[in-house]
Amino acid sequence: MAGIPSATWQMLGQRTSGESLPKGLDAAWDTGIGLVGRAVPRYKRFLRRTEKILSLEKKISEMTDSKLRQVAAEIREIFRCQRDKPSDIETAFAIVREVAFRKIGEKPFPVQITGAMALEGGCIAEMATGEGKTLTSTMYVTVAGWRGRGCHVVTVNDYLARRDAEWMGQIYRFCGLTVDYIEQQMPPARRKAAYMADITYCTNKEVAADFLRDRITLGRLRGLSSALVSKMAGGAKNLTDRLIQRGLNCAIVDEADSVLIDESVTPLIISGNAPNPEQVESFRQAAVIAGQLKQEIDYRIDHRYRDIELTERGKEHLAAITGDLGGLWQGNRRSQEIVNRALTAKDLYVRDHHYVIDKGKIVIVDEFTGRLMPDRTWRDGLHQAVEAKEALNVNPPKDTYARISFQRFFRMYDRLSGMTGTAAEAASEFWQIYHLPVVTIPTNRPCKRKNLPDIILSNNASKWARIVQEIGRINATGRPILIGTRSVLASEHLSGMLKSANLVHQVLNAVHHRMEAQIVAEAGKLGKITVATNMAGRGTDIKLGRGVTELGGLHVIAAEPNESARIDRQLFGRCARQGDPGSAQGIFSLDDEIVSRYARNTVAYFKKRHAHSTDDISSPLIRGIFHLSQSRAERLAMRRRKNVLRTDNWLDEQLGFAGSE
Amino acid sequence: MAVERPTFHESWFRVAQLRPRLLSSVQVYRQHFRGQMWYVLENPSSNEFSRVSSDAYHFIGLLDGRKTVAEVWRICNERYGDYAPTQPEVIQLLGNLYCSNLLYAELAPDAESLFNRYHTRIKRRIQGFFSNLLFIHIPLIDPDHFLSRWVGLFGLIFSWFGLLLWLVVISAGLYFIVGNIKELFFQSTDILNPDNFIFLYLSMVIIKIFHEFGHAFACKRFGRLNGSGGEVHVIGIMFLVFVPLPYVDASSAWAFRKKWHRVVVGLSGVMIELFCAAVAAIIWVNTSTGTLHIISYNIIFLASVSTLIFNGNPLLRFDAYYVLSDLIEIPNLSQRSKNYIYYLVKKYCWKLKSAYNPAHSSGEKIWFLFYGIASTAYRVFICIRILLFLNDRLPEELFVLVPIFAGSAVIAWIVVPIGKFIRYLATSGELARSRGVAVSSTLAAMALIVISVGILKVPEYFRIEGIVEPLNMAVVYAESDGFVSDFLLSNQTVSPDGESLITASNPELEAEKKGLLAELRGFQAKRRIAQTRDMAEVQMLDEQIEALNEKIARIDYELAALDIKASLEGTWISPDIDKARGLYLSRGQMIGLVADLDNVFVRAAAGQELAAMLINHTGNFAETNVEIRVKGRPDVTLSGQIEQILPAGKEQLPYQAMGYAVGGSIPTLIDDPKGLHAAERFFEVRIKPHFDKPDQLRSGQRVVARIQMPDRPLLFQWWSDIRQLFQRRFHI
Repeated sequence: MAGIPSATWQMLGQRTSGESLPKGLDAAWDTGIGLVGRAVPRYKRFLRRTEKILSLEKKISEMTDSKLRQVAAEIREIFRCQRDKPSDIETAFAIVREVAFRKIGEKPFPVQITGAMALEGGCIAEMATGEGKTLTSTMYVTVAGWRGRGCHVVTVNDYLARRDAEWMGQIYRFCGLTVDYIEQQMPPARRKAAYMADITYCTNKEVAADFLRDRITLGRLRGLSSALVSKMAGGAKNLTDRLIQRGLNCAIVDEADSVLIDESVTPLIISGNAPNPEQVESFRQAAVIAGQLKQEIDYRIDHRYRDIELTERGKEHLAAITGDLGGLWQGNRRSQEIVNRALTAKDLYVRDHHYVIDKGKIVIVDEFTGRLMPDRTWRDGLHQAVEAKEALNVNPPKDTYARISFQRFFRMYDRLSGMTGTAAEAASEFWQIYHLPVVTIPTNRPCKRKNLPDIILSNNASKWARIVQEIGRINATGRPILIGTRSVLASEHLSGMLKSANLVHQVLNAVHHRMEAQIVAEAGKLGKITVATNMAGRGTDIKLGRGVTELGGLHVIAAEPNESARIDRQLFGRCARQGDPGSAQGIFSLDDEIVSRYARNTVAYFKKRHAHSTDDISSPLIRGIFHLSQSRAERLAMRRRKNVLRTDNWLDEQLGFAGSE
Repeated sequence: MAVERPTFHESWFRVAQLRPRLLSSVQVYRQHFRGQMWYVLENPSSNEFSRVSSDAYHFIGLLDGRKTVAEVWRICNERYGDYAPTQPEVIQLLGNLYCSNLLYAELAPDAESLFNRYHTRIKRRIQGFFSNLLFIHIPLIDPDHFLSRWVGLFGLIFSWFGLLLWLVVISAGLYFIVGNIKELFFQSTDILNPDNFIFLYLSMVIIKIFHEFGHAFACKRFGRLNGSGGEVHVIGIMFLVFVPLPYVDASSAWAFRKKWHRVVVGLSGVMIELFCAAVAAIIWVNTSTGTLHIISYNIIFLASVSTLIFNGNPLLRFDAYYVLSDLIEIPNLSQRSKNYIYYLVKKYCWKLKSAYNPAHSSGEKIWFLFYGIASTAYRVFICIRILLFLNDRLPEELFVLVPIFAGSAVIAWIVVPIGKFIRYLATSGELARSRGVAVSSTLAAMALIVISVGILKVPEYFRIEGIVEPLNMAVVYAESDGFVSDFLLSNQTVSPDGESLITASNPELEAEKKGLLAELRGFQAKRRIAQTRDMAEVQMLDEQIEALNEKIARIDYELAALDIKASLEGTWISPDIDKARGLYLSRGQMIGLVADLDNVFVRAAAGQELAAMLINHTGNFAETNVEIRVKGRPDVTLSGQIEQILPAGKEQLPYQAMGYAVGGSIPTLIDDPKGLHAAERFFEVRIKPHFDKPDQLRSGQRVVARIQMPDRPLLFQWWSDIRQLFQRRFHI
């Protein structure tokens, strides 16, 4: 027993699920507390402490390197023993600040210190892009490393993980900490070493996948007690050695809104192949049968809820077709289910909008971000149905070995905090699901972005015409323009229109994703026109080209409102960073999906009223409808995510005999 | 996806490789419900049950601890096709079994989730304790051994012989009760006197002990007849509205194979109670005073009331409910009725496609509909009845209980369900697609209720009793003494210039008049003589004649007054006049009256509350609508209007007939022998009727006047009713 490292103990003692969501009156109380917490300005409290840290600057900057190391080592002990007082945090931050200056030549601004304070306080720090979130996090991460229980810095992709680990590593190493990162291709032994470091940079996918692999390793040996028993019985000799992680203690999530909210319910699944020729065949047959059924006669489509329903006639028709097929087609229920999937794939999933075909494979396009999600598959046979529809090779559904949603995964951390550019809109969700308050940190230099009032047109045709017109007008001045569309289709459509208007432009969408970084880097140059799906190239700065600043900086046009105002703000946030000038404007139409889905009747009325207008029809009322639809969509999405969590918890309770997820 | 029973479940991997089986101690019983086969799984050691459908049981039956769940699922799919449980169904099924402690899985669940489950169970129990504060159960001992020893003897009650005995005693009891039904009701006024409480409680304990042991022995006996089951392991104390009473847990009867065994166990308590009531009735009739008499009265009262209203009534969830639910083979009738009615609303009002229909057959639908409506209506009815009963019968010092009961009933049946409903409307995932319809139709229904109760003005009526009185009336008195010589019979129309009402003679006066006339003649003769001689004497004689004349005139007047005429046009009323011939009338004596019966008014007495309202609300009496009905003559209905409300309160009733003592509606003081002194001040209201035909109202008739107040919304009407009710009880 003695030979087990303490990290393994921590791993075994790891709780198996986050706190369960409060219910009923407790939930109302909790929500109320969140609302009150939002009204109380945390920011000012953090700012006061920031001033104290700044006042330490002189004293610390006079220290020699060795003295600084020694002071750092002393304070590290305090943190390791968990005897730290608030003043120790201030000293620690001041030290890290000085180290950052000496090692990488950047001294965190006061706003960055405040951001680090917010992280230390267990909050989501909302900092505009380009404000140096990576540097901000170092202060808190160092302290977390000193605490000695591991700290996961969760980044969006492998590249960033590696870059940040190497770049910021100088600071950490100076402070006596080890730092490592996780990459997709690493072997388990290397991973284990990386997790054993004081600070581990990783992506959300990798850290959750490693967690699941550990779970699979542990198998049914859940919890400290059963592990001990089996150890005593000698049954699990090498078990603890095969574990990779050391327990989930502390995590900082970069782009917290995308990880903790947008992607939170996507489950991370560890699966294996399970060949099932019979099922594969049935999907092919279903695609054929789906072609024989007629809409409105055999089935009905509910576009609002993206739903297919077979009519009674359709069911009979189907039974007649499948009567002698045998196999999975024997049961009515099963065949209706399979055909339903095939019809859904046929009528509700559009190529280049919901998915693209890449090297003979279906790749899902994220509905929110327009990004390609190559690892993701649709569930319940839908993926196979789409494959069958496109006459591709149908891969049978894989066998799941372990599964967890990011939502549940991140709720398991003892100390969770995050940073992102846009969080305020989702403050209630951050609070209700993760108990994380949101603190908005102002920019270092005042923001010079001009948010022009939205232009709203009565239909799509005039919207696109107007967008092209605007592009032409601004392009004539030489300012670079970035146009955000919601789908690949829309970006291609716009591209076609620009071509016929003889406007030279670049398209950045899921299909052209390989050139992403290059296109984004170019987007700020004089006279550039870039058409991009909303989230393409997120995380890469658009640097303004020479002479652009004088012209007024980058102009951003949103071609369609998103499901969440947060995403719109992310798009607008791509201009006017770090004190640069810039402007942003939305050009929407009443045909846009969000309003036609969430405010059907009102929009129908306005469409009728402005049927012949090709000009801007925006008024406070119509803009209000857009806002209302967005907040409605946000609320619905949040409720959906909360329900997923609740269902997961319920399942956990019900399946207590099967061990936790 | 609009697939009703999706085949796959994303968490399937968590159970797929497990090899669970039922705990070895679990016993399985088959039961038929409305032609469908169900399986009851029982864990005797924890007394936990679960009922599964036959499709689900086919699945469970294959779990033997060797095959994995995935294997069993595949086998089921091959064998049963569409009827095999889908993955989500299997997960749900296994989860339920696990939560009911019926499932054995080979691995120990992790400690944390075990503790969590324990905590939630404790929490649920505490919540249950507080939400069920009026029905707290505290288990005490295990009576099984005791029951087993005595079931041989007492179990015989539940045999044919027992039934015969029961019938005999019940008939005897009924016989006695019917003979003394009046006295029985009369005594019921004292039942809630504080003096009686101790007896009431004692009787309750006696009855409940018999009741509960009835269940226990019945359960035991049939268990023995069946050869298995029927164990009774818990006896304890239940605090029914804080009153400690015994209870027994006979739920193992649930597993009896024969339906009528289960029915008898369910009904045994009520049967024993009725038996007790019958015995008590026999004792009560044959004793006159003493503790035994009082207790047996209380037993009769409690047993019959509790049987008719509670235990024996399937509309409330007591014994008879379970029996009914068993008899018609619809388990969980009450909950499912409710769900069915919700389902109807969801399906037809809200157009919810995915609404779950709890009814499996058309027979069930009818039962659900009927039971759902009837039981709700009955519950409301019984609640109001109990409150009114307590309101009437509870002595002053305990009256605080009434608002407490009313308040808790309002909270439990109105506030909490509304709160839950709002929550459901706002957050339910099921409504995601039709929330708009659901919310708007609910709002519409609510608006309808609010408008009809709170805004729509409806007429408000009050009823008061009154007596018809003629408007013009003259009492006829004798103005001078005399013997009646002639008279007019009663009930004839008379007028001032018509016939005399009564004629009397006074011989004494006539004689006096004759004497005086003779004297006058003498004086006149003397005067003629004196005229020629002495003028001074003439003068003196003149004065004497004058005086005599006056005397004669007075006598004439008195004589004329013996012939009495009506002073006004009307009807001559003097009921006893026919016996008056030859009677001596003395001056000032009342003979009868003349009343104008065509012009009558109603004199009614209004209590203080009504009078205040009348004065407040009906500034203009002339516009108040009054409907007058004659007591005992339902065919006569007249309209009328209030003419006057005498502003000062009175205590003396104008007629005895208005008072309680002789059947009127105004309470009078008990110590007033005449029954004219009202217990509370009242205000006299004068109502003028409008006739459409003559002779519709008779003076002296008792009438009910229905006064129509200005229209007010029902809500305000009820609110002032409730306030007045409380004010009256609390003397605020």
